[in-house]
Amino acid sequence: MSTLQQSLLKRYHSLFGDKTYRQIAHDSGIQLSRVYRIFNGSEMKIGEYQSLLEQMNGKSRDQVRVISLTLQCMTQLSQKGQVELERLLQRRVYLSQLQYQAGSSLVASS
Amino acid sequence: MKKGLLLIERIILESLEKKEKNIIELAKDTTLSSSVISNVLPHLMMRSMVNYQQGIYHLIRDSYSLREINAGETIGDELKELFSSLVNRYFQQEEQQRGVGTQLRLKKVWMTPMDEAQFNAHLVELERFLARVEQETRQRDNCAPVSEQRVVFWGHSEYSQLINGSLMSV
Repeated sequence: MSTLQQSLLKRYHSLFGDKTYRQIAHDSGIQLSRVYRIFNGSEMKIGEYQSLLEQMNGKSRDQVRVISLTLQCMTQLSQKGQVELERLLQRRVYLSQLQYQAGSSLVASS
Repeated sequence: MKKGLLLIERIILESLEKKEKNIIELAKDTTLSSSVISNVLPHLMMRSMVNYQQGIYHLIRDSYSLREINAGETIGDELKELFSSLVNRYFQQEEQQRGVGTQLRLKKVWMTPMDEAQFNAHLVELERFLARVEQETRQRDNCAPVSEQRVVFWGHSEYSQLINGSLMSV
């Protein structure tokens, strides 16, 4: 596996670590068997590389938007509003942790 | 900040309230996956709501933490999550399913004092009906999964109070 591919897959995992191979295949349009082989050492094709890169860029843009909105809330909302938002975010993060704590879904299930 | 329960924690506690269980039985009763249940149970044990003996999980019925999670603002968070899930579910259904599966109704109406009296009488009747169903379920030693319960919401308020409430939340 090339260094470029390794670096891309590492970054992909940091952004989408909770996705199963089946979800990656569905979102990227890459065949499920190819997804499995790519994440287990096979060389990627240019089209596959582009597809995963596009997904990551989309997610990065989403993340920037959410972070920017959160900062806006911190400056604009009242104390009460911030506490309510904090409670909501805490619950969502905790739920996400409970759902995906069982082990990396990229590895095992499809 | 007091920590309330997530819906997945609540349903596990409700399942254990009926009867102590192992993980497989919990999965069958709640329809949650074994892996999610396995992740949730240690948190409930740390909060002294559940204990574990020889493969079986028990509810700690006189737990202070259990009393706390049914109080005020912590219950509010759960209600918001439950209602939000109902609204999402309703709109995820196909158009033709909306009268059949998850149902949601909203009306804004002006009520005369007579209308309000009749409306309150209907609500009392609804409460009596649900209480009777609950009582009959207990009496027949119900074995149906906790996940098969119907969740019923009802509530009403003056429109202006709701608008003011939403303004005050920011």
